[in-house]
Amino acid sequence: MKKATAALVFFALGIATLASAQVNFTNYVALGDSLTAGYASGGLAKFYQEHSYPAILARQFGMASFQQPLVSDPGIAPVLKLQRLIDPQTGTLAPLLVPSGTTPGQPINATYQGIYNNLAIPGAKTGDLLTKTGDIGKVQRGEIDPNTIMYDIVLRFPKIPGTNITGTAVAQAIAAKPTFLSVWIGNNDVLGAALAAVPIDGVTMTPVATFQQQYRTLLATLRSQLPNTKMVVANIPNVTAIPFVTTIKPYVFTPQGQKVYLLADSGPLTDNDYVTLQASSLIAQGYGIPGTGKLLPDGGIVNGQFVPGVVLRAAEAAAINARIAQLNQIIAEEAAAVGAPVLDVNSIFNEILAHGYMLGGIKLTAAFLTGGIFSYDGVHPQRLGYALVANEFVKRINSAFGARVPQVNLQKYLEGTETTTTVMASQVQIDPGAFNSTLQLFVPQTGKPQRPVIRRHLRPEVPGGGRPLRP
Amino acid sequence: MTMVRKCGVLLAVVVLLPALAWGNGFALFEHGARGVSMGGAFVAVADDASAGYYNPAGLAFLEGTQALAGAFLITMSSKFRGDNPYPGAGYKTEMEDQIFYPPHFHYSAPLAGNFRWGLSMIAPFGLGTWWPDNYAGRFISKRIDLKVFDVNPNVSWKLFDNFAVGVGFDYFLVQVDLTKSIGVINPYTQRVAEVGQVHMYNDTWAGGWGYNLGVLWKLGGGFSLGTAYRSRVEVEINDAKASFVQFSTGYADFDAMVAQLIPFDRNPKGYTRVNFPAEARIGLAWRGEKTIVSADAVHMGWDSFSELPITVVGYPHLSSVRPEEFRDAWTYRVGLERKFSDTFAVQVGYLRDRTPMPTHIVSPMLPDADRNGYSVGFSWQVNPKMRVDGSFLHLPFDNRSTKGQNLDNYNGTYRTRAELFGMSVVYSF
Repeated sequence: MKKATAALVFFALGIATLASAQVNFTNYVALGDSLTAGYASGGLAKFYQEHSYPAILARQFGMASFQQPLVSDPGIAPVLKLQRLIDPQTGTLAPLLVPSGTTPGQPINATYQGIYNNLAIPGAKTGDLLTKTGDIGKVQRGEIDPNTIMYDIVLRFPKIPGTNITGTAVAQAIAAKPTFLSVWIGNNDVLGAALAAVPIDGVTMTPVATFQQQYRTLLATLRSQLPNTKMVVANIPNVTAIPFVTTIKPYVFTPQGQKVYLLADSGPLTDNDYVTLQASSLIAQGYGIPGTGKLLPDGGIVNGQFVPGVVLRAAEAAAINARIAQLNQIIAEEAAAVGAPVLDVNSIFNEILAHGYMLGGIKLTAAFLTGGIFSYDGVHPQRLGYALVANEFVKRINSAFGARVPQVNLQKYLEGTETTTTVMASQVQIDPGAFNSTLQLFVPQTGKPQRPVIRRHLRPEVPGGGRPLRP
Repeated sequence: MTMVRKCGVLLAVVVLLPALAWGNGFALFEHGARGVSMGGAFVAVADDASAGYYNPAGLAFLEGTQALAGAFLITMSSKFRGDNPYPGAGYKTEMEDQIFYPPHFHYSAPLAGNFRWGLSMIAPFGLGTWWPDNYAGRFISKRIDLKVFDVNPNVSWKLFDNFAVGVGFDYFLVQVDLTKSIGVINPYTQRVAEVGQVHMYNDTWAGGWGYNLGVLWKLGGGFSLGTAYRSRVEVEINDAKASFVQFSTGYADFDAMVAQLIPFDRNPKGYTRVNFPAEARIGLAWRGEKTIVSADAVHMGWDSFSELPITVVGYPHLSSVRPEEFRDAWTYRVGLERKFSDTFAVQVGYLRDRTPMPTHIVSPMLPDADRNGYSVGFSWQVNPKMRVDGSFLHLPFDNRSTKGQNLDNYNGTYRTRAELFGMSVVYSF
């Protein structure tokens, strides 16, 4: 009898110990930028949002409801699609990417009464999470402001309903009282330098001291307001790991098979220089090709005015990656200070760039279009890529917290049988014409495409970005 | 004369038969029903013509001329349950049913004085894995057939009444046949598309040389000590064909792009190389009036099988070197034979095979595992010249989980079992 009692006590203790090792995943909130929002192929669209890594994580956590600022397909802006791989006139490989619709999508979960679980804002920098707010009312009234549209859709309330609290992303995350929180921010504090192909502190990159102060404030605020919330953060991948930077070679071959280096307004390119995907339509028009007299814009400060370019010199790429290393060091230190484990996305992406990612005998790579990981904008992952990121989060969460979250079934993403269980609160009708101005962000380019061509600019995460290039 | 003809017929039959199975890597030890019935613990027994495989020194003690021929019938089943992230929890598949029947033939005759000669023809290695057409691992392997046939002439020499040595040469004849699907990310769907299939095979036999040695020492008091060594054999397959077949994906220009990368319908040459491991065995046996007890330890030098190059000549982007990284492995065998009359005996045995495959290598190509073997068999002296041996071996494999480590990221648990039925006929002249 005594033995039985003792056994029971031990059993109960065992259960208690197990339970304390468990993390409470019942209310998960995600903070971040486009990578966390599930932005892909140049737009924010339900097709990808339903497979944002936080949405996948929520399914792995077993959450019944995970609310996101869903935008109906084809998205804002309409996501890119692959129109063709081979030019029917020349018979050569010349992929053509075009918007998948002319009418943008609309917010379809805007009347959800609570705070979204996914509070990630495409384009947001670290400081933006602390200061910027949005107003869904502007969208509903048809006042479309390209600079704030994403904040309006995601943050919605200038003041958190029922309070006098300014509705920043951080404030909303705190008000949501999450039991678990992920923070992946900082990408746009440096990514702009790659997208504009010009690293300039204070213009395309956030100065280190500013970033440190903002990142520290962000995590410290969250920690002090949410003392019992388990938190995981992620760091910044290198710009040289994304197809936007790695796809176009700095040289072309003449019909005679001779290798000739492209020409920029700053001089000829070398083997170690990068040409961004933005250059594709320019090259198709002859820019950068020796003998045409047309040069690729390297970008920089011209006549006191910042001009984005399409050529990332080896030194520039090295400078951006060095900056990323600095920011990642800050992320590691600040995360440690608040007891949050870091998912080392930087290493994961570098590993994929170097060796690929094997999945059932298929080698996924960082290659544009055929690699399987990145979407048509060459910057953001596609669904399989986001699922892969989600799986890395699961592994990190399990190792850091001793949790047993099941890994993601990537087979369904690789072979296309994935299912969703996203719960939508309601739908709201908005005049599609209200979004016409958004479209003006994405000016179509024309010309004879002979290599991967993106017929409009990427979702601008660059200051002044989205303007047509004026080479 | 008739013997020669019989040999010829047997050789023809042996070559035509699909002679494969796997376990202990892909080594086979089923080269005589009586040896298998005793759990394979036969190196210190080696008292019939199957000694040509187990220990050629044993042949030196035979009288007259003896031929031993037979075959095993092997049924295998392997079930697989997937893990996340690939192919996913809840995923189940099962290997296609296959029956293998590796044959064996041994012949031993006096040469001169204390010398005898012999010839063994066996299938010392073999591999046959075949998974359903649409299963989730089809981009790794759909079907593998590895046929290995060993032509092994030998000479044995009884130096003393209680001590003999044997030596032989091995000529391996090898055919491989590999089939898998080709998957490419379809840029339209951003998912994998099965764009075709590659089938690599050699329809001629590739060859490779090796040798073997054996010692049998009758210690007295009924005890005997045996040891045998079979060398490693490297076989290069230079004249394989790689046949690529394209599957339509429904996207015409994607299909056209794929067709620029893969030589569909052009049948380029293929090359591969297999390093078959050395095998060293040592055993002790005790022989009473009616009883034989025997135990062997076998060391397989699987370190030799470190990689599998699969080269499509002229197409480096389709060629690869697959890490195999096998490790040396021990297996242990014990057996017992009991005579119930002058014409009838029964054997039982047990064996424990350690797999040479490290966890990350375990794949649908070969989901090997540690295994136990439980054997039972009989020998029936039909008449003074003819003996019939029958054998049954039950081989359950331990469940093998890849523990999330598989190098193709195809993870889960394999549950495999094999049943073997063998028969040998021994004829003395």
